[in-house]
Amino acid sequence: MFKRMRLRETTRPDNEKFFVASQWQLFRWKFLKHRLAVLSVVVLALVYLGALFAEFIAPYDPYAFQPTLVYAPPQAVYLFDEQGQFHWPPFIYPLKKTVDPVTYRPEYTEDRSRQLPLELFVQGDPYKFWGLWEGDRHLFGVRGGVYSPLGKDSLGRDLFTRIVYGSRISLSIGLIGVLIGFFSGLLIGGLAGLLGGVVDIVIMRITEIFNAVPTLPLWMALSVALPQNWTVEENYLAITIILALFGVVSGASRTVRGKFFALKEEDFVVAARLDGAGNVRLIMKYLFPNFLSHQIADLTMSIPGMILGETSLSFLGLGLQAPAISWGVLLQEGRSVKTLAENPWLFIPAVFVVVTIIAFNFVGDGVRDAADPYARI
Amino acid sequence: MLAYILKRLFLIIPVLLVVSLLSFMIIQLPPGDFVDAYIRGERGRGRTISSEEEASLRVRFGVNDPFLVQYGRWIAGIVRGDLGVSLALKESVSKIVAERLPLSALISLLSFLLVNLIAIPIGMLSATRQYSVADYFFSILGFLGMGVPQFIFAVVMLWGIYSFTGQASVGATSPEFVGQPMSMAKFLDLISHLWLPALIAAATGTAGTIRIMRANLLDEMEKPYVIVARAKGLPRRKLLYKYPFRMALNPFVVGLAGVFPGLVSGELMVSITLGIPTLAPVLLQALEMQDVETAGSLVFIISTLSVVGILVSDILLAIVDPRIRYE
Amino acid sequence: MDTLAPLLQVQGLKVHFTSKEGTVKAIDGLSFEVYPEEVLGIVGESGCGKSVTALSILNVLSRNARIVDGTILFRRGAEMIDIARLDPDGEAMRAIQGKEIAMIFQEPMTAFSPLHTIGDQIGEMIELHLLGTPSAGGTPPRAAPPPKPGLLNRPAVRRWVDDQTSAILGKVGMPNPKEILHAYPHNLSGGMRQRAMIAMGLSCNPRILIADEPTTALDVTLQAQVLRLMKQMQADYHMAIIFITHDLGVIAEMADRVVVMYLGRVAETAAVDDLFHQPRHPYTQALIRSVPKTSGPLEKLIPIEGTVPSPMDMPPGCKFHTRCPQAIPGRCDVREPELIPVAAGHAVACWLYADGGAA
Ligand SMILES: Nc1ncnc2c1ncn2[C@@H]1O[C@H](COP(=O)(O)OP(=O)(O)OP(=O)(O)O)[C@@H](O)[C@H]1O
Ligand SMILES: [Mg+2]
Repeated sequence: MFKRMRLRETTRPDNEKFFVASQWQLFRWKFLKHRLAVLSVVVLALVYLGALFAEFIAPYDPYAFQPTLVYAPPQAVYLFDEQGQFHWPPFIYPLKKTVDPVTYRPEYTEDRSRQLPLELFVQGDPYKFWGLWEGDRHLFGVRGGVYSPLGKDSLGRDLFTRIVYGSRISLSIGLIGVLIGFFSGLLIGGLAGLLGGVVDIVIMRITEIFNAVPTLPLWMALSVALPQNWTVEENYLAITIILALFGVVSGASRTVRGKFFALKEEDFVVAARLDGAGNVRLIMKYLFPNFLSHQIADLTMSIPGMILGETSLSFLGLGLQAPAISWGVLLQEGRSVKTLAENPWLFIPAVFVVVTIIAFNFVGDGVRDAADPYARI
Repeated sequence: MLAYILKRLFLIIPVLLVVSLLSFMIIQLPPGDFVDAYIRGERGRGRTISSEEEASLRVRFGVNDPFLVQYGRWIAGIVRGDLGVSLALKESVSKIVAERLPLSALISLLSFLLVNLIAIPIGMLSATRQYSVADYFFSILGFLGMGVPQFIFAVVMLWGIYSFTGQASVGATSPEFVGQPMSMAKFLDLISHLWLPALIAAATGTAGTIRIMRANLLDEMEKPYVIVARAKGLPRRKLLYKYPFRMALNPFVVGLAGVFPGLVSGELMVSITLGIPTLAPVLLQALEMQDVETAGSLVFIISTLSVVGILVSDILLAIVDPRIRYE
Repeated sequence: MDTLAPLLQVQGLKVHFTSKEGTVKAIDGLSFEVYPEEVLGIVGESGCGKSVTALSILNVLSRNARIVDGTILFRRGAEMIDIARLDPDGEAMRAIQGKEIAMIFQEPMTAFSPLHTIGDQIGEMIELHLLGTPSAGGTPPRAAPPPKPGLLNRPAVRRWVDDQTSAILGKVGMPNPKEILHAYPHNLSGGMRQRAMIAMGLSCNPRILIADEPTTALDVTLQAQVLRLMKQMQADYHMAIIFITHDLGVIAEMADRVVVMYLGRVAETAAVDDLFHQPRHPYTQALIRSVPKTSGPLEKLIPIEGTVPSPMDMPPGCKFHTRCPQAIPGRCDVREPELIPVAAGHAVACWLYADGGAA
């Protein structure tokens, strides 16, 4: 509304840089005030660090199996021995296995006669870090025995190790999917927003349709339709694309397009247009920074959906398959409730899934709050 | 109103078209076709099939026809209610659907009701008592609800049931009702079995809806028309019910249409995990046995369920919000 | 009728908003009076606190707002009620809201609920305030006495409320009031909606009608129509109007007296003629200079220098000194001036008019 007496601020050209800088500062400042979001960033940083340095952080080789320790439970760490004497470094008792004569179920007890001190940088299973450098040092471990902090699976493989390795796939699927979503959303939504008219209508109708369809059955069917002879890597990529295509892309396109239309009407864009700025320049300079923050917030919120998708699919046995390790694949072991009830630690990967998803939700919440102080959700 | 409903009905045609194309593509995607699969199956039983016989089979099943012709035939079959016979399940797919679709729909509907019944009052409570203990409690619960995948809920629940009763799955009905025709008693029995799975399927949607509801209600309560209503001197409780609550009940405001696809996905996951005889376990079985034909049809039917759900919430919206009706 | 005693007295009002960014002192020591049956114009730049003033008088401020100081005295008979002390949701306040003081809002589109009919939204007010009370005595007299309220009498009540509502809608020039009753806001044009809004304000025959920029959302011809309507209604209903606007032209046309606001305070107050002919405050002078004249030779428009300070970070002293061409260093930027009478009914808050000045 034009008001005759409303006074407009005169902006000097040198104001602009200051404005951009302060907007970033404002963003950071607001984000830091969202305590849960900050805490979540720390949590996510930890799990991602784990994924990054999996070979080093995991105490064992993820495929190394120990037939003698099938379904061994998690082992406790002790500071005091049975005589109440303090020990440093902390130690563990190795497991002693007995087999139930009736059910043939293995049963494990701690062998209190031996103490294995928990050491840092111990020598263990050899690995090739990122497939490049050979090494055999692990962050922690014991010598002369086995220490499984989170227990062992049906083949006697170390669950903690497998969770750490599994986070590589489970956590990167979200990121790669979001990247795919980001760029295709920018492209599709940008096209709709820029060209408008029929193109816009068609694109929006199609994204609407994708929003109306439940994603899970599509994911399930498509992941089964993948060729059987594909390698783990190919499967992984294909699943990521499937998850992104039917999860993130349509939402991202709608956001971009919506922002485009909203911003087209904004005073400063109209003013810039009147100043004779070309379309591309206009987009790069004004529209882009403006909806970037929204886009980032939206995408952060869509990462959990992708992680969830992979986990659910793999849990059903449809996503990634056995030699691949992901949190969903690990959870497959818990699909039989009987196994789960007898070996509850097999469900620990679920804790990692839940914590990661909640952390992403909080971070997304914080980003959105900081990006748009007026949005209340 | 009628015109509006007709318009919406008309608008779902393209949606169903795209969904059916997608489903059919799923059928077509894997290398080889129906005849290959058939021949493999017969060979497995020790019967050899000559190349002439193979060719005649190809003609009979029309697998060499162009994509669109095959698609047309498939769609025509679905419209006639003829979904063929599942190779993997050795049963008519139509019969499977007829038996199991009602249960799928019932669970989805039940979850939809639960989302509304739980999210709307809690959202209202949170918004009118912003920053109260209850508000914080439900906000945290909401974040948990959004963070915990439905199948994990389902597994935990099944785990609990197993530890107490030793049962490893949750049926849809008590044993005495199996095979019985539908009656009031059987229906109540169904509901008593299904409300918990429905609740799990609804968890994510409920958590999201509470948040949207709370945010929108907070927004609504600061809208000019509410200030106007206060300026009229209306008693505050009456005002709250008449204006912002009424507005917040608008399914569009709450984003209920977006909830439905999620509920259907949730139902799938929960039913598979808990072993409830809906379409979900059959879909999984078909997929596991590479019976893409059946899987495609099931995906189409399950997606249609969600589209119909959206249609229903759209019509609800039009009943509640006059602006939509008159557009 | 006692025309000398003010109907409404705002004294030293301070309203603060708490937001994430800090405290906004939207109203910071505001004082003025409203006399019966006058039109008081409140004028000022956007953001100076005009709407907040209106909302404070009706006690319908948003939840993050607080009246931290001052009184809003409303005279009902011999009684003086301090609105600032009343519970915003209490019965005493609700008896004033809509009945004694009513308001016409800035945006008729958002001021009506989109989900309820016009008849419902106006009628509920009539039912609330007029039902059961004997004919309010004011002009114009009610056609039929109100029926007894009660569940059994519901249809009669409904009919009576509808009659009253369509009568008032007819009064503000709605072509077919009976049909408008059942219309939703989105069925009406902008001008019609504003008429409906005015009808709602008038429906209980208030003693003060606050009109917050009632014409900003309308185009020029509609503006003129609505202004004419309001003038006529004031003549018919004998109420006082607080007319809020940022448009000096509208003020000149409508108001008897004017309050010029700057950043939550009164800069100058005077009868409308005095204000236009002898503006004293440098801010008022600048405002008048910045309005294009419709007749006479074309003068150079002089915009007001500088920018409005942020309400979160107010300058010390006179709030206008940062933009004032006549600011006296050492005085204007140190202490805030009080309102100083300069003529009968004319007061100005400016050190230029303080004899002897301040320390
Ligand atoms: N709900 C609120 N929260 C925080 N600050 C507010 C709120 N409402 C108003 N303000 C602040 O109070 C000041 C006065 O606002 P107000 O709406 O009264 O201005 P106005 O004079 O009516 O302007 P306009 O001509 O644009 O309507 C502004 O600085 C505004 O930022
Ligand atoms: Mg205003």
